[in-house]
Amino acid sequence: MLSRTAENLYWACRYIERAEMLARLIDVGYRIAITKKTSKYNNEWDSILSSSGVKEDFLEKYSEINQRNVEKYLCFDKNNMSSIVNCIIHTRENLRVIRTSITREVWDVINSAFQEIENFKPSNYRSSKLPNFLRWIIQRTSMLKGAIVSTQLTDDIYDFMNLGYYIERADNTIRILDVKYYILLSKDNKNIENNYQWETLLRSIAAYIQYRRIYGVNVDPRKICHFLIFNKSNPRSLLYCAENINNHVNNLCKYYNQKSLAYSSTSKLLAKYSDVTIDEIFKTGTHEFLLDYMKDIDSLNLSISSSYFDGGYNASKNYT
Amino acid sequence: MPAYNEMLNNNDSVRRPYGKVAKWIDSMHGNIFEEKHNEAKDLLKRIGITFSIYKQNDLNERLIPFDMVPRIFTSKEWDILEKGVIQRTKAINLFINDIYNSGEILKDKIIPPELIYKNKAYEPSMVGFTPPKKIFSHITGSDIVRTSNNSFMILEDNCRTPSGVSYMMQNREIMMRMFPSLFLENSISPIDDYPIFLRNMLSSVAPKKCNNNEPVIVILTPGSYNSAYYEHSFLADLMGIELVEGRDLFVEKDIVYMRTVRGRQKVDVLYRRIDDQYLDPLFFDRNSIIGVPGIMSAYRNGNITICNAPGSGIADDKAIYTYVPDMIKFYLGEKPILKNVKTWKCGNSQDLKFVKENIKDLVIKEVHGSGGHGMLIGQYSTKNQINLFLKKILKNPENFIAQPTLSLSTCPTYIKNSLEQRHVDFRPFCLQGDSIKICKGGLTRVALKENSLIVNSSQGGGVKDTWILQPKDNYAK
Repeated sequence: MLSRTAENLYWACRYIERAEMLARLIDVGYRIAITKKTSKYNNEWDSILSSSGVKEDFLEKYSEINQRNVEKYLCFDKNNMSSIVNCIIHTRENLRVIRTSITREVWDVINSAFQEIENFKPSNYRSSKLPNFLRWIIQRTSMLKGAIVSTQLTDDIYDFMNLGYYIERADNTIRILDVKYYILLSKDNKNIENNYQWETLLRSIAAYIQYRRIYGVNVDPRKICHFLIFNKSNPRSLLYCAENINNHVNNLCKYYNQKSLAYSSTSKLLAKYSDVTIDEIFKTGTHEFLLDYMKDIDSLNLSISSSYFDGGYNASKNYT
Repeated sequence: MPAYNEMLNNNDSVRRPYGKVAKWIDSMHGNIFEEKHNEAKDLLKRIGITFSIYKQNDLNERLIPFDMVPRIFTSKEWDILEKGVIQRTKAINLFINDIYNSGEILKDKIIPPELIYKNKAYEPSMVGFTPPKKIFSHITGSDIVRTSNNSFMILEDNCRTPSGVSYMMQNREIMMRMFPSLFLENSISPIDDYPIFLRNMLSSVAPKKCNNNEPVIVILTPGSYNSAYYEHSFLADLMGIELVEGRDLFVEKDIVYMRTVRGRQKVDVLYRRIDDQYLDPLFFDRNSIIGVPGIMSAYRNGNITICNAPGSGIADDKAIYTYVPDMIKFYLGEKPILKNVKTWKCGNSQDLKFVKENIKDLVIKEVHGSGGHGMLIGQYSTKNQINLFLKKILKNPENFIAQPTLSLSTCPTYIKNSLEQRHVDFRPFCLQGDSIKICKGGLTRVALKENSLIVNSSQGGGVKDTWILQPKDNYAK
């Protein structure tokens, strides 16, 4: 496989995962906006901007953090590199240039989504249409995943796609957890808000019901952290992502019959975090733990890049 | 004289090969045709056939219009076309090899040497070089027009990087998905083996030095913003080979490698879809960033085969075109099966005089022009346009040729809720490696504007599925 192809596969899946995460985050914001009219608390849009990492850019363009501005910016703004529309465009573009590597079914889903997204023009956008749009995005991202799982060969193409998915997802889980945690720890928040915030967090990762099934109806920071960091059955937990990243890198090494820098990075990552306990995290501070984790994900991203995307020069080096 | 109608006789009765298609058209009353037309559009959109055109740095993607009414050839008609195109392609390859080597046809004074040596398409770096199997133009797409029942003419030979084969295949795909019953009723020659032919042909011209069991073949594209990118990607997909850009390849010690996740991999055959001038910045345009530095040296050292060979364009130049019938006689000792269109060279003073006097009835083309650009159709031009064009011709007469305004045949075409007659041409695809083969199909292009003779997609042309009927079906009722 061409190095460039691997890179396109990887980024296509990072962008589509990002689109899905954004859609879920905005959906939660919308839900709060329509159910919490009586409350003074209005920080949800702020926290959504922070979670998606675009707050500074947003404030350069808009002075007020309100629903309409945030929705427009996160969903449709073509100047926002990570807006949902741009994520769909980037995914499609990354796949378009390597159409030889993906199945017709996969192409069909992303290409249709790309054509159809034109119907959701910001000019005729109304807030009431938002839930439809978000549901549509989540359906399309699920369809894409489905098409990948059911039609792509489970070869190196599949591994690079999954690396994109899991790296992006780990990154998103960290961001959401960190931002929510930050809000929850601020002194202005009363208990009732707290509970509500934890619930929205679970909703944003599509795990509201699943959490209850495992941990019961009470939301508790400890349990939530366990669920999002350590629970191996939760497809959005950090450990689940780390294990999958590790598996796919291992697959690549077997497939190519050569070890890589990515291999040593991911093994280290897994070893580092598999022995940590919730108590230790709470002792050192959740924020610090998450920042550290984020750095490790970043450096893993770099080592994947130098192992496989830099072109034949580096990939031919052997790591043992 | 009215143009030859592909579907109807002079008395408006339906020609026999079109019998079932006529019934099929009749069966779609009311809005059905419109609905199907839109369905085809959607299908095309989803499958992803778009060709890009540049507009103020903005990349637009739009659909190439597809018309549902097929264009049909009987097996008898096809026999003539097939033999004619194969004969022509063989002669062209012998000609190119001759031009870059001993130059027999020049010694025999059949073609004036200045027409070759002063030609922009002549590639000095190819002199004395013989590619594997002596083939230069591996893939040739000749444009053919029909002017009467039994008169087919070659309008142009494309020996560089003829495109359009993906449309041929997708047109068929759409028709088969939408109207499977038509394929049950008619015996239509399949075309889906084209990628296999192509791959086998490319393998057959691997360098002698190639020591990979199965030669490593790649397609070189200028990139995803090229108008034919879809086709490059489509062909790579169907041949199961890599689609590369210049930056994916590098040359070390005259060996061409591609950069892969596993490390470097040697490449044996390059099916390039970029023009000669961009191929190698060390040899040609030094500003090219889409080429591969050093690839020409690797090529001349016999470490890689480039298809089509650099310098092949010398054979599809519009001035050389006039000599193709002579080439056929000279190299093959045969009578040309397909006719050329009568051509006046403005560089010749007698011809120029004729052109000036008869410009109203002529089509004037630039020798190096393509895509329907830089031409004048006298019949449809104003006095002012003609005078302006005449000035251009007189400035540099060698740069122009003139041909009679041909009455291209017409085919019923769906335009705004009704079927109208529109002019068509035809491009078959001929492959030559260790053997020569032509795909039993091709691309029919249709001018969607009324009376227009310009079928190019960049100028609003559309495409049709093209059927080659099998012998038993020629006279089906």
